[in-house]
Amino acid sequence: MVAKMKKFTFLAFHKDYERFLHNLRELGMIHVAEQDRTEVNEEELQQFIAETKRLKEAEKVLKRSIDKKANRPFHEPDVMRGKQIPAEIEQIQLRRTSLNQQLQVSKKERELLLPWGNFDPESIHRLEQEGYHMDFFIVPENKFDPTWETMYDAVIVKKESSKTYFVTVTRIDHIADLLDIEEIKLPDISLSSLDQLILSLEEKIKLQDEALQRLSDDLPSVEAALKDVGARIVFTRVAHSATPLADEKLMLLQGWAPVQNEQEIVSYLESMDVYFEATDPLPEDDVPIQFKNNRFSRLFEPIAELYMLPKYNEIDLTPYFAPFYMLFFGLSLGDMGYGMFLLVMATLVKMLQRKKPATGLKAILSLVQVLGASTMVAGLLTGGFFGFAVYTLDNPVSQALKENVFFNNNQMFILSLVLGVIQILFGMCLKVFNRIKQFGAIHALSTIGWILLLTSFIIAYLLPAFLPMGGTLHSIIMGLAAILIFFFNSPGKNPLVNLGLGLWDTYNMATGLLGDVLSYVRLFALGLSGGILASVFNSLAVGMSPDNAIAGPIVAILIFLIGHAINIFMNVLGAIVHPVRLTFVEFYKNAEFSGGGKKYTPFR
Amino acid sequence: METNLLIAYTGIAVMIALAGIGSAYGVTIVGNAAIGAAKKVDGKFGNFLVLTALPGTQGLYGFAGYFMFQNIFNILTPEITLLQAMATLASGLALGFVGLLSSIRQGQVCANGVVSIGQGHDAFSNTLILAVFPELYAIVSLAAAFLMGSAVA
Repeated sequence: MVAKMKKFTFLAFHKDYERFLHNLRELGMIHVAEQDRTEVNEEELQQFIAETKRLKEAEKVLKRSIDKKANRPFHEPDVMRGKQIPAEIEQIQLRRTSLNQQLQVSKKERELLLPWGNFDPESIHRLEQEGYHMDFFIVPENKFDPTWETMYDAVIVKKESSKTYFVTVTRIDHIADLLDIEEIKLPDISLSSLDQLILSLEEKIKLQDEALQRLSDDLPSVEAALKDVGARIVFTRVAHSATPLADEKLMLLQGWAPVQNEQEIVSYLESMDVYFEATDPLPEDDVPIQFKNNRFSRLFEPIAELYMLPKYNEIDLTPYFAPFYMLFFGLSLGDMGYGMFLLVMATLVKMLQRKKPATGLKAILSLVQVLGASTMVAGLLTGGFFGFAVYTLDNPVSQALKENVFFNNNQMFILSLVLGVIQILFGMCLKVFNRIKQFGAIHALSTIGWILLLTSFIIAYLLPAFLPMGGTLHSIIMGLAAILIFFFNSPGKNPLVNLGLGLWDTYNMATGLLGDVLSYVRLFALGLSGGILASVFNSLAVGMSPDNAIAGPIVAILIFLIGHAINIFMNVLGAIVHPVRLTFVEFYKNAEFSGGGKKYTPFR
Repeated sequence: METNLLIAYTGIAVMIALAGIGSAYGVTIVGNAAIGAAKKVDGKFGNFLVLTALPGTQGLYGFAGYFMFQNIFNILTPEITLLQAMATLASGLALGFVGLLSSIRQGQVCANGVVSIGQGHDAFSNTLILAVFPELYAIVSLAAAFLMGSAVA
C-alpha cells in the first residue's frame, strides 16, 4: 500500500524565509518538492561538497590510525573541532613526508659509508689542509694493481663480493684521472653521527604517527562535522527550491506529508508567521511515495525498492508478491537443514541485538527468519536435510511424510510451472484493478477477456466434466473473451485499429506467456542442483577422508563444513536473485507495473 | 563393454575439463581486474575476493557431475550399456560447454563490477545480483545432467 499524501503550499515573507525553513526542519515531516536550479546550487554547494570531501578523507585517515591496543575513549563530538581536523592532519602528513624523505636520504648515505667504517670527516679535512689528498675508490678485484700500494700509498680497506675498496693518501691532485678509475664521493658525516641522525628521524616520524593516533580520538567530531555539512547541503538545496514572487518579496514553497500527520503539521504551522494551504494531490502531481504495509509485507519493502517505487496512483505490489517471494525462495533453496540454519542464525543474531534500538538490520533478520522457515517447509517436499535424503530412511516418521508430502522430480517440475501460471494469472488480475484505478473500468476489459480465456482453458483441462473443452459453454466464453480482446483493448479508437492492436496483443501473449511460464523452471533447477551439490559434498566428506581414527573424522568434518558453507552461500545468493527476477520481470510485466515514484524523504 | 566405457569416460573428461577451463578463465579475468582495482581503493579486498570466486563454481559443477555418475548412479563400470554411455557423453558435452562459456561470461560481468568498485562506486551488491544470471544456465545443465543420469541409471 502507498500512504495517502497531502500537498502543502507555503507562502513566506522573504525576511522570514530562513527562519521558516529552520522551523520546517525542526518539524521534520515535510518532503520539499525540490527544483533543479543547478546554476544557483552549484556555486553555493561547491564549497560544502569540497568540505565534505576533505572531511571524508580525514575520517578515513583517522579510522586507519586508531590505536586499537590503547583502547582510549573517544572525545565528545564537537562540530567546530571536527572542521579543524583535516587541516591538522594535512600538516602532520606534510611533516611526516618531509621527515621520511630525509630518512630515505640518510639511509642511502649510510649504505654508502658502511664499507669504509666509522671515521671523522674532520680528520680528512685536516689532512687536506696539510696538502694531502685522501681519495676513496671501489674497483673490481682483478683491476686492482698491487703496485699502487707502493706508488700511491694505496691501502685496502675491504674486499667484498669481488670488489676491492681502497683509499690513497697522496699529494697528487686528481689521482682518479691518473689511475683512470672513478672516485667515490662520500657524504660529509661520520657513520656514528649518521646512525644517530637516522635514529632521531625515526623517533620524529614516530612522534608524528602518535600525534595522528591522538587525533583519532576526535573521530566523533569529524563525523559530527560531516553530518553538519551534509545538513547544510540539504538546507541549501531546499532553500533554493522556493519560487520567488512579487519582486522576490514572497517565497512560494511546495511540500508533501502523509495524511496521518496532517493534524500535527497544521497545529505546528498555525503557530508560525506563514501562510499555508493543505490540499489533496492532483493526478499530474509528482507525489513522493511512502509505503504503508502490514508487518509481514513490510519485510519485503527493501526488495520492492530494488526495482522502482510505484507511482502515487498505482497499486503497490509489495503485499501481493511477498507470499510468492517467500515460497519461491524456499523452493530455490529447498533444503530443510539450510532453512533451519538460516532460521537459527537469524534468531540468534536477533537475540543478541535485542537491547539495541530497531534498525534496518532487525527488519532484514526478520525477513531471513521468514525465508528460513519457508525453506524448511519447502524442504519437506523434496526431503533434503544438508544433502541427506531423509525419505530414504527406514523409520515410520519419514515413511509417513514420504507418503503424504514427498514430491519427486517430475512433480517438482510441474509444481514450478503451476506456481508460475498462478502468479502470472494473479498478476493479470492486479492489472485489471490497476487499470480500473488509474484509467477507469472500460480500459480493463481486454485484460478481463484474457483472464477469462486462459482460466476457461485451465478449467476445461482440469474439469472436463464441468466445462467440456470446445463445448457450447466453452465456445460462448471464448467468443465473449475474443470480443473483449479484439474490440476493447484501446477504447475510443477506431474498431479496425482495435482489431489490429488485438492481433498484436495476441501475438505478444502467445510468445510472452510461454516464455514467462517456462521461466519458472528455474525454481526447480535451483532446488535440484543445490540438493545435488549438497549430497556430493556429503559423499566427498565420507569418501575422501583418510582411514585413520583421529585424522579421518577431522578431515570429514572439514570437508562437510567448507563444502556446505560454499553451497549455502551460492544457493542463498541464487535463491535471493532468481525470485527477484521472477517478481520484477514476469510478475511486474503481467501486472503492468510502471513505477518511477520518488521516495518520501522529509526535510530534517 | 570397453567401448561403452570409453565413450562414457570421454563424456566425463569433457565435463570436467571444459567446466574447469571455463572457471580457470573466469576467475583469472576477475582476478586481473581485482589486482588493478586494489591499487585504487583500500579495504575492498573482501568484495573482490567474493566476486573473483563467483565464476569458480562452474568447475565445481563439472566435478559434481562426474561424482554423480561415479557414486550416485554407479554406471561407470565395465557393465555399462551403450545407452548409459551415450547419456554420459551427452551430459558431459552439455555441462562442459555451458560451464565453459558461462563462467567466462560471468567473469566478465564480475570484472566490470570490480573495475566499477575500484573507481569508487558502491557496485558490489549489484554486481553480485547480475553475475548470478549467467550462472543459472550452468545450474540448469547440472540439473539436466542429473535428470539424464537418473533416467538411464
